[in-house]
Amino acid sequence: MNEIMLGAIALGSIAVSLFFFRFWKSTRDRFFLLFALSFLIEGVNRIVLYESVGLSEDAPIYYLIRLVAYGLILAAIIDKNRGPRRRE
Amino acid sequence: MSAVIYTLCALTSLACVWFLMGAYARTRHRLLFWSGLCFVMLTVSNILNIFDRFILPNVDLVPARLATALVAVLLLIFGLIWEGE
Amino acid sequence: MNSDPHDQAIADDGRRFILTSIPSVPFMEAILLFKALPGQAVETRSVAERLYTSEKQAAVLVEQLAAGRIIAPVEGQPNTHRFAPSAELAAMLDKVTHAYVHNLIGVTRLIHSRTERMAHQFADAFKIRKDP
Repeated sequence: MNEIMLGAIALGSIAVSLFFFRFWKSTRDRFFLLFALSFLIEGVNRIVLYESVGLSEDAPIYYLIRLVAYGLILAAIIDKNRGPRRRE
Repeated sequence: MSAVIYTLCALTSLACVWFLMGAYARTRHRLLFWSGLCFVMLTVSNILNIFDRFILPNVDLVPARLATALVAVLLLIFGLIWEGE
Repeated sequence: MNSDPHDQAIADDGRRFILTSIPSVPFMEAILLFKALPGQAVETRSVAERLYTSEKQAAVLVEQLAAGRIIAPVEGQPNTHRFAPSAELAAMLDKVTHAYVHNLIGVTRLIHSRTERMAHQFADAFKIRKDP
């Protein structure tokens, strides 16, 4: 059951990243590129590290990569606020 | 060292909840609500992770961690499809 | 996709305005109507007639336009409004109505683009503006 859930999480994360890639494609706003990359990294991380680390996820590298993924979300949000407030 | 990284994971996902729900409160844009809910569940998953590793080492929390993370992405997928209409 | 001529002609700020502030094609048509009669008091009934729509739907449009501060109610005359945007908004409306008239297909497509609309609203939600 655990393996099934892990696979579903990985696929789900990649599906979410595709949605955000689509947003990026239509708006060209890098905000969405960062969101897309974040979920892509998380999805791939789950698959790749399952092979080497297993279900216990007991490896700091696993969480360092996850930290990068979450960091991209925060970076996207902060980047939005740093940009020009007004176009004119 | 690993305790620091695990805690940072929980804190960054919590920060995402804070930003997403804050933006939702301001704009009432519903996709933000689903994204926020996704990160609520991811935060729970990360906190369970800390418990699993350091506080309750004798209890197997792997299924709970995976289940919360799965619910998290399912919520966001639901939101992206539902609100996209 | 980007080679589509209908996509090219609309400037970035215009695109953003259309996606965030113009919910439908009748809404755009109603803006054109009020804009063509600057300063004049226009009854909701006449909006319905000119847009070939029901008075009920016209009332909804008028309400949306008033909420967007594009038109303002005329004092002492019920169900009557006039074109009354701020200078800044008027300049933007000039831009988008010009784009609409000259690139009908592109702008109409943009109004109906739900994905892009959702994306813009999502991203814009994180801009914490000082003015509401």
